[in-house]
Amino acid sequence: MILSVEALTKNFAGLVAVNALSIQVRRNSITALIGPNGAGKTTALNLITGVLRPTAGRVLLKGADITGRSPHSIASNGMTRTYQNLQMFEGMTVLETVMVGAHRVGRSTWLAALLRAPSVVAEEKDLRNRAMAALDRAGVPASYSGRVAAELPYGWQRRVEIARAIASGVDMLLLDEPAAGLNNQESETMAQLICELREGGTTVLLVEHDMNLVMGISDQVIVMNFGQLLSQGTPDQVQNDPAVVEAYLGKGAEAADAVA
Amino acid sequence: MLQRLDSYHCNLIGLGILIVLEIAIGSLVQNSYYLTVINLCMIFGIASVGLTVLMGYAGLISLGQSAFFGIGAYVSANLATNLNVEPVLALMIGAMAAGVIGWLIARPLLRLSDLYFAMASLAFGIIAYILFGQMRGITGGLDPGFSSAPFSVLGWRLGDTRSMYWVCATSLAIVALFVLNLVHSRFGRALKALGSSEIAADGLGISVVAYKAMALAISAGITGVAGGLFAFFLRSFNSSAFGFNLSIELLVMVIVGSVRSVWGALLGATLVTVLPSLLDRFEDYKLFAYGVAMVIIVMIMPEGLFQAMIEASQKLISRRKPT
Repeated sequence: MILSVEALTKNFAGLVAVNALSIQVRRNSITALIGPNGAGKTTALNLITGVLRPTAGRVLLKGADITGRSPHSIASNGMTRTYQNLQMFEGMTVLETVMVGAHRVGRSTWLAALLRAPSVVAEEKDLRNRAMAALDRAGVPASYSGRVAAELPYGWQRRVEIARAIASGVDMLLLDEPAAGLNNQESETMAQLICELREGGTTVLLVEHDMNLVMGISDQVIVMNFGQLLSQGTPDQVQNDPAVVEAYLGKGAEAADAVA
Repeated sequence: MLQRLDSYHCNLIGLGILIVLEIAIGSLVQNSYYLTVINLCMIFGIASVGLTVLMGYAGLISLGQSAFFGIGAYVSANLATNLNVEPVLALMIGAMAAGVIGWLIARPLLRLSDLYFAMASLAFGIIAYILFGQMRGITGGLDPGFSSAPFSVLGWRLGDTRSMYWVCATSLAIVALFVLNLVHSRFGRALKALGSSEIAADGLGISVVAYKAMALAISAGITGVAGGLFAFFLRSFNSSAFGFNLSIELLVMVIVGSVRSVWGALLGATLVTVLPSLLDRFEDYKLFAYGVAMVIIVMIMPEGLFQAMIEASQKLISRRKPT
C-alpha cells in the first residue's frame, strides 16, 4: 500500500465533515473518491495532503506517518496534488510554471542564485529539461511553453497543472476534479492521460463527478456519503451496491417526497 | 513578446544599458547639485529594488523599510567612524545587520496574513524610528545627529559628491545584477509562485514561511546597503531621515514604477526623488501638485510606469510592422 488512511476524522465546530474514513491505495493504481455533493471528498483530500489538520486518525504514505504535516513536507515525501479551482501562478509562462513544479528536485541556495554560480546555471538547465519532459508526458505541446499559463484555454491549464505536479517527481498524485469544466472529448483525453500516468508509475487518487471517467479508468472506487465510507470496490461492485444507488438516487417513494 | 522581454538575457541587456548610462552621466554631468540629486535617486533606487523583491515577488507589503534603511545607515557609519572599520566592509556589515534583523522579525511577523503583516511592519518601522531617536549614544538622535567618516576604499578617500557618484553607481549595478540573478532562479520562481498562490506553492514542496522570511531578509539587506550609502554620502544626518515618510516614499516608488521589475523600481525612485524639485515653481501648491501627479500616474498606468512604457513601445512596433 502506498497510501493508507486510518480512521481519519475532521470536526468543524461540531459538524463532522469526515468521520472515521479508512482508505487503502495500492501502488500503481487509480483510485476514485466519489460521493454526492457535501459528502466530504474535498475535505478528505485536504486532510490527506496536509492542507487541513485532522481531528483524529492517521495518514501513512509509504509507511511513514504524515498526519498533520505541512503540504510542503508531504510533497518532499513524494505526494502532491492539483486543485479543483485552478491555481495558476500569475504572469508565469507554462515552462516557468512547470519549473516551479520541479522545485523540490533543485538544491541550490539563495546565495548561489544571487551570484549565479555555475552550479545554478547547470541546475536551471536540468529543471528546464525536467519541465519539458513533464509537459510532454502531460500532452502539452512544446510550442505552448513560452505562453502565459493563465491565458491558455481551460482544458490546457488543467494539463499544465498536472504537468507541474508530475515535474516534482512524486509517485503519488491527488487530482481534485480533473475533468471539471471539460467537454466530453476533453474528458476522454483526460481519462487517457490519467491512465498513461499510471502506466508511467504514478499512483493516482482522484475526486471526480464525471461517472464515465471514474467507472472507465478506476481500479478501485470509494464512495463517501455524509463524511463516511459508504462503499468500496471495483467499479462494477460499487455500481451494483444498493447503498450507493440509494445515496445517489434516493429510495423510491422517499425521493419523490423529497422532490415534492 | 512580453515574456521574452522578461527573460534573463533581455534583463542583462537592460543592465548593460544602465551601466552605459551611468558612465555617460558620470562623465557628462558637472553640476554638483544635479549630481547630488542623481546620487539620491540611485540610493533610493537601490532601496526600492530591495522592496521590489518583497512586494513584487513574494507579494508582501512592508511599511517598515525605513527601519532597515536606518539600521544600514547607523551600523555602517558607526563602524567606519567609531571603530575605524574599512568603509566598504562597514557597508557590507551594515547590510548584513539589516538582513539579519529582517530575518528575525520575519519569524513572528509572518504568522500574520497580508494586511496584518503590513500593519505589523508599520509598527516595527515606528518602533525603530523611536529607537533611532532615543539611542543617542549610538545614533546621535535628532540633535546633534550623526557625523560620519567619509567613504574610502583602501585609504583612498571618496568622500566628495563626484566620487560618491561612482560608488553609488557601482553599488547600484551590483545590486541590480544580484537581484536579476535571484529572480531568474529557482529561488525567485518560488517567490513569484507563493506570491500568487500560496497553497499551490506549498503543495509543490516550497516552504512558504521560510521563503517569505528569506525574501524579507534579502529585501532588508538591500535596503541596508542603500542606508549605508546614504550615511556615507550625506556624512551628516539625523534620525528624522528614517521615519515613516521614507517607508511610504519607497512604497510609492515601487508602485509608480512597476511592482515586478527592477527597472520599474529605478524609474519610480528617480521620478519620486526628482519630481518635488521639478515642482518647485508651484510653491505653496507643491505637495498638492505632487499628489495629483501621483494619482494621475496610478490611474492611467495601474501596472506602473515601466510596464506602460513597454506596452506602448510594443504597440508602436506592431503597428509599424505590416502583418
